[in-house]
Amino acid sequence: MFPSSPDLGVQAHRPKSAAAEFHSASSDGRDSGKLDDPPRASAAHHGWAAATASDECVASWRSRLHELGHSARSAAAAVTESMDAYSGTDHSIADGLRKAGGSLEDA
Amino acid sequence: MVSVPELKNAKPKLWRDAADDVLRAAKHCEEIGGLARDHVAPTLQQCWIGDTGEKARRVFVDHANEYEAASLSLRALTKAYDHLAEVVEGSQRDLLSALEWASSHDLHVDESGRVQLAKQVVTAPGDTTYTDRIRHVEGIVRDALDKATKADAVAAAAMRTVKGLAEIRDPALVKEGLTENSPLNIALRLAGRVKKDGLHPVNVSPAQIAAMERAAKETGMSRTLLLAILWQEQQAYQNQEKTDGGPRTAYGRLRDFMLEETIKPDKSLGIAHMKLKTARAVIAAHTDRFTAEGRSLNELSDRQLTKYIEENPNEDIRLSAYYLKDLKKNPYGARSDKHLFMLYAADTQQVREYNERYGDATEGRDGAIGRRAANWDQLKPHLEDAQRWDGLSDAQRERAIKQLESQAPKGRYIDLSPLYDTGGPSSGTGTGKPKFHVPPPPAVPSPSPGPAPTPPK
Repeated sequence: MFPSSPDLGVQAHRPKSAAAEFHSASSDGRDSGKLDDPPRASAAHHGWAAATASDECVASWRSRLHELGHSARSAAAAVTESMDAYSGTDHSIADGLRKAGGSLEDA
Repeated sequence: MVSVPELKNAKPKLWRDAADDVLRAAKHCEEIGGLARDHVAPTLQQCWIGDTGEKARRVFVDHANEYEAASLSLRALTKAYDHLAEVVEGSQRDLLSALEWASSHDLHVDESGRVQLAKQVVTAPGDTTYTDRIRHVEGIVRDALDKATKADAVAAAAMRTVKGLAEIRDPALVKEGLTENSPLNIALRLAGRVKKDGLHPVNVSPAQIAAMERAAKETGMSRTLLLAILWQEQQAYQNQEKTDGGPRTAYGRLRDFMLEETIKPDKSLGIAHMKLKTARAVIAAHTDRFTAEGRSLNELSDRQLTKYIEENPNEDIRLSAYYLKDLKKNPYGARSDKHLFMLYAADTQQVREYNERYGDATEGRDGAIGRRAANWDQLKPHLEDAQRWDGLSDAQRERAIKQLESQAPKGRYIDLSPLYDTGGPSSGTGTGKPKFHVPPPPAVPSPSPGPAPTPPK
């Protein structure tokens, strides 16, 4: 659960940029999780114990790498969204305080 | 066992390609893990002060650990492919040059690696030229096949382990899991077995497992072979006349006993599924070993001996071990455990000839014998893993299970299901967190911070 009041002292720019870089690196490397060569090898070695074992192993890892990549990109997206929300909030709070301060000054 | 055609036609370059492909994946994991740990997490620490920021930072630290774990596992897989490729390259080279030499010296090499003259030759008495050539080629071919077969088994076991490691998120546990024959390593190999592989467990009691071990010591037969016989013969036993419902063992045995009395003198008996005639032959060959009250069991009538076999499963196991030992007296076609496994079903000239011809290869064996050969291939690694698990102490096993539990989602049932009842702990329940918890964006306050404070009047 997250606290209902926002953290103060949030500098959105650098986290946003780091998250974007992270997301990008993860997306760019997605194909590395395809693992197409092992099944080609096992198909050419029918009857070898390693062929069956390889197929089963690769199936588990394709799944695992997909899950990890998806999760990593979601985490990056969550940071970006939060930073956008904080940027919006900080400006509005600052504006509101300025307006309120102006009324007080008139008093 | 890898056969001559299998090794001849192997394509080790494809295993090298597989290794490179997996290495690429490992490097990507290292890149992403590095970014998470060294770039994103520190940035969040500096720029997002507060509880929510700390939670977000933790997510990236966790990702870094999981990517590190993944990279370690994938590098182990790369090694497995590379090692297999290396051995296959070498043994294939040796095989091909031996085949070429054989061909140019009037020799024929069959699928099992047995070498014979390609045509009739007349030799002077005492001339060992041809026998020397045959032995020379056979030695090289058999050596090449042995190396390739061992490398195949080692690679398959490594891949089973890495398959199990797909569930392990902690890099420290991955390292332990990769340590050959550590309790966690063995547990991962057991967990890595495909549960739908159709291999039912060897359904015998711990007392019978103990009897099997004693019989193995007494006769020098391998435990893997005896276990495989029990597994195979149970299948036949339990699958007979499926119309009978209810528990197979006690009722089935009683039924066999009754049939033996009235109809079928040739029925196979007991958990080792042995014919009376065969049992009598084994007893006759080892009279001092099979006695009751000082008298040879062969003095019992058929009816009495049948009852004895049905009621003494431990003795059945001993009989089967001695039978296997006797099969080896004629070494032709009885050279390996797999050969014996097949001969147990039918000790015929044809089966022996085919064993000599095909070696331990399964390709090319037909019908019931082919199925039996395929069963052996499937059973052997899992029987061996189960024996390793059996060899661990209860404390070692409990620790390995706890380690697996810590990585499995909470509540998930873990059952290592070794292929025979090893007694002691073999299952558990996950205690880990559920799948990756990616925190949603925090509940941000609305852009308008509410009404401005009213100035005092």
